[in-house]
Amino acid sequence: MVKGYDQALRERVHKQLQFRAAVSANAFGAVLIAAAAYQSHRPWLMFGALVAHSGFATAMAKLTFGRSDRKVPNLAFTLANTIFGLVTLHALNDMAPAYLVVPLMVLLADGFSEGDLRWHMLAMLSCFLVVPLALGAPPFPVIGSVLLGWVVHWFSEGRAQTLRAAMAELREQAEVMRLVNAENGNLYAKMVAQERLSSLGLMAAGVAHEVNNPLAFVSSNVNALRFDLDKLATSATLRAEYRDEIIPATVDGMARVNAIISDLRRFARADPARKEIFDLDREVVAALRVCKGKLTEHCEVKVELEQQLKVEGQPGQVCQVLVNLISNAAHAMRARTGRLSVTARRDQSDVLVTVTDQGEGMPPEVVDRIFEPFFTTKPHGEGTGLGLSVVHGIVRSHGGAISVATVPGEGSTFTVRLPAARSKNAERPVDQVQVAGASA
Amino acid sequence: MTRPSEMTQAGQNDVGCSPVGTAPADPAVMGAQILVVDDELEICRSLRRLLRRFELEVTYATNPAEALVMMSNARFDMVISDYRMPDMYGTELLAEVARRTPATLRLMLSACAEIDTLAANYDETKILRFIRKPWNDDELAANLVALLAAKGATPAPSALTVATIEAARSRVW
Repeated sequence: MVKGYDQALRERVHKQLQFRAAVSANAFGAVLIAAAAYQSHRPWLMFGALVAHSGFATAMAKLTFGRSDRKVPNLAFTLANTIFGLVTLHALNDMAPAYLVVPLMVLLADGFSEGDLRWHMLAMLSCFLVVPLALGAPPFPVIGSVLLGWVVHWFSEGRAQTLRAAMAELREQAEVMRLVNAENGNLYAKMVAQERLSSLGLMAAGVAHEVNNPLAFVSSNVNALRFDLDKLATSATLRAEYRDEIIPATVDGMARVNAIISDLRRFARADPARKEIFDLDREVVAALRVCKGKLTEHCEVKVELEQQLKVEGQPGQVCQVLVNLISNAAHAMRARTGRLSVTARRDQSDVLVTVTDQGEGMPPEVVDRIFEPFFTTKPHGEGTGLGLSVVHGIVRSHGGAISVATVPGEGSTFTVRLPAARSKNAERPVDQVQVAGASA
Repeated sequence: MTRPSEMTQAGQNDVGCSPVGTAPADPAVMGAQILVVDDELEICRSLRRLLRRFELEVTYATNPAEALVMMSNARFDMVISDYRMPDMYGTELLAEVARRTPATLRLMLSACAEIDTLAANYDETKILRFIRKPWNDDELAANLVALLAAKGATPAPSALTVATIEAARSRVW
């Protein structure tokens, strides 16, 4: 592909220069031939030569331009130009202006890197030098024009080479940049995936507690039922215990496990192409439930949620944002007593979520960098430093913004602003409210 | 109905498929006093129901402070405490139990993955055994009975307890 690009560039430069040189050399040649015809004793032959020259030039143009293999056209071009040139020069009485055509021809034959054209050029210039001198032309115009032809060739070749070298360098740089960008992109995508896994891992540990507790008594209760089955028929006390205590507790335990599992599923569903309208407040409730294991006993949790905060996007990702912010807040308060408050409310056409902790807060030099990937204040191996950068990315991809206000020693507030979903039926039926309430 | 001798194999079964057993009341441990401390009331209740079948007396407390009050009023042969509780970690509570009544068997319950780390950090003199939630009823009961029997002054432990002492050797159940 790079080779193709280089080739195409060369073709373009070549074509452009050759086209101009061809037009001017042929025009000039035509004028010279016309002049020679006018002066010569055989005007018809010269007019024939003019016609042949034009026809040949047109044919050459057709053959040469846009062809990668120019071996035959190049040879034909050199021979024809040499013959036409010499005949014309010979036919003209005044040789001096006629020699001006030589440099133009050289420019037209501008060889660039084509090896055989250099030999053509050498042969053509030798002919223009030797033949007129042998025929008794004055030496200075002849030598001068041949030298000029060589100089023109030298300049154009040098310029073309410099241009090619510059182009190649640019292309190399572009290629390096492309590779670096691709590498960075890959690395970042990998780290984001890893962060997702590690936050899932942290969550799984927290969730294990929430699942195993109810699971422990549910399985023990069911086991007890098997043991007590025969006695149930005779013992009214036992029946009452099962009816009032054991069975309700078991059902409740299973409901708790169910709620946690559906929260996990909420976190895991991540179809990047699919967007849906969802209730942000329910994601907050789910995130709080998932983070329960991380909140210490010193941490008083206060939650203020407006209901039915409709947002469009990916609820799993938004839940990840909330889990991240809440667990950061819990981490900031791990050695302190205080309140962790989470609010979600409407603000004009936006939905605002705030997570406020009364933790240690952050010094300005930390605040400046918290959304940077790989920046972390946690000890090596504990944080990936990607949590908040991923949060930032998710919020941005939902068309929102995240900001932070912090006072060192007093706590921090993270504010996430997401555009509210514009839905035709923003007012949902009442049962939706009840479902939301029940899950809270 | 399963005979007591079959109960010894219950430990190898998974939670849901253990044989239905009658309470193999071991005279050596009958009436042993156990205190269960867990902020999850249903955990306490289900443990009490389970151990009742084995003639073990279970008292429970849903927070460590309450448990400490109970311990100053009565003597317990065994304290089983949850790890994560409001106000105090189970490790702190059990340390207090060790200080007050060193002879009391101290066991830890936990639903978290951290149980292996805890087991590595607290040797047998501090916390004897660690119980993973959810537990296997029959295995747990048999192991507890074995520990109580081994602790008890009974010169000859019963066949059941001898068989389960082996199972009870592992630190984390």
